[in-house]
Amino acid sequence: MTRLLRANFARLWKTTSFWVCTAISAVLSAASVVSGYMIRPISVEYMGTSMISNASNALLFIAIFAALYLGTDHSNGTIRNKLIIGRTRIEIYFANLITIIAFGIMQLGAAYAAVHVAGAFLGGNLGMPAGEFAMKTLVCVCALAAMCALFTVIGMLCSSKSLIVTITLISVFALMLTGALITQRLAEPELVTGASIDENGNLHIGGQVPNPLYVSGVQRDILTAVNDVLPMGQLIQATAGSGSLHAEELMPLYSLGVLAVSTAVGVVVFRKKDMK
Amino acid sequence: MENILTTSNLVKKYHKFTALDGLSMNVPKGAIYGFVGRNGAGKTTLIRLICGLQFATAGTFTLYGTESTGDISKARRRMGAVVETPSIYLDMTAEDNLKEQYRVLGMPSFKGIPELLKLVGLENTGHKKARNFSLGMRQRLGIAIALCGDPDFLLLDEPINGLDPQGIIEIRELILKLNRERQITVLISSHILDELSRLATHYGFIDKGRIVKEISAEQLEKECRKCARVSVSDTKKLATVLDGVGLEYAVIDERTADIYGEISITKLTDRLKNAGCELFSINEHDESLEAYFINLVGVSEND
Repeated sequence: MTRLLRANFARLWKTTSFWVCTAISAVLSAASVVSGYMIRPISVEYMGTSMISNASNALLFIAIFAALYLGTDHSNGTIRNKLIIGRTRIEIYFANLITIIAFGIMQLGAAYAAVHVAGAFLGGNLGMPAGEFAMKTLVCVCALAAMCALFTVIGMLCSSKSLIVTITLISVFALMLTGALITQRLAEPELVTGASIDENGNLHIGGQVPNPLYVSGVQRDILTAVNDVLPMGQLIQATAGSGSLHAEELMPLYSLGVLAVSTAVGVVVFRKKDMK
Repeated sequence: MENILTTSNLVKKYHKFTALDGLSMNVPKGAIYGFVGRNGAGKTTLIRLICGLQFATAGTFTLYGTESTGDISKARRRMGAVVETPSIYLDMTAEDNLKEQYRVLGMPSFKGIPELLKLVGLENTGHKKARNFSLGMRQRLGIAIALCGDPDFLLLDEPINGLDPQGIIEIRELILKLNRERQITVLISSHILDELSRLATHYGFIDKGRIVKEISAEQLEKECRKCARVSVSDTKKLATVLDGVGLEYAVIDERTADIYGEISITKLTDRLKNAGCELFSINEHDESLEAYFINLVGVSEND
């Protein structure tokens, strides 16, 4: 597999989309720090939050790159060159998975570096305990790796580049939307300020009443678990703000579980797949 | 003669459609094996199975003595293939494409690349990306990639499809060169029979997923009947004369016919003159590979 990895990484450096995605990711990350400073100079003191918040942005670039990189192997037919000379399908699958995960980590690294350079230039600091920063980074890296595994499944099992791009992007947006909706529902307060209108038509505001949108009981437990297990939910939680995460010790394990299950499914189906 | 590839009752089904229906064939070492069949006969399907792109529903094949049910990956390292379209990275140069394949193969250095580029006539392409190559150049680059591992068996699926006359000549000369100078066995599928007849040393005729006949080029030449193609003023009068002397013939049109068997031109001329039929020309004519193929598999309903 080392031969395939060597070939994959050599191709990575020569792929335009790699440099374009990395450059845009870095520029946007640096720009977010600079623009934040221009609006509110104190924001530069929270570089750690800025760095982590770029994980969600990086995900979009990773999705686009993975779809183009894996799709090109199908559209140009170059995946056949590997099979014809006797490389096994498992080797090919894992080499591609590792390449996409490495790209994801490089994207996050580029975003972190850009925030660090821009933030340091403006006199910023981490703005959160190093332990919290390290834990959130670990959660983000694992969640991104799990998402990369999902993109690899799509990229290896579909044979059309345009279909790969379409399905990957739809999946990302669907997962983002799902994660955002779950987070929003879970963030609903249990009680809200009540309002009533009396017989004379006067509006009375005051007192706490139960929030009809509040999710409670088993339903809340299920939504919380889903949000913790899904990589997108983890990314949204990690990038949402300061403070420790719910089940942060378990989140990397959940991500690795998603990675393992999706890769197992991908490998089993890819081994049987008829290539053209 | 030692066989590089032997297939035994290979079956490949796509849902209800049977692409290969118990196909058995033998590719001798050192041959240029012309794999002839109509579109949809199963040529590409067989090549895909041999290359490991797809799996047989039933049956086996043997490559360099290794059964497909065994560790076929090692045997595949000794072969190269261009299946349908050449598999190349369009955003890379010819040299970068070869370097990429060298890495996939795990070759220790790139020192063989200039020679390969020269062999396929792409040594002067420099920084030109493959997307800007002509179809012929892409095809040659595809063959160069297939040659990266120094294989001794090459599978080429329709390598001259869509090429201009110059491109066809270049590919033909390259295949002959590889076979003669490097002793590479070549399996070449095509339905351009005239072109194939200039290359092949052996033929396998496939129809409806089965091999109809395997034959060497020498044997084929013997089996192709000789005939004389004549051009006359009236083929009806010609037919009367030929019926009179008991010669087999086939009328092509109102003025042309093929006469089979040994004929005396002097006697034929005299008889035609007596019948009031003028003889314009007469040429020796071999039955073509195309005619042989049609005789073998018949004319399809679509033709």
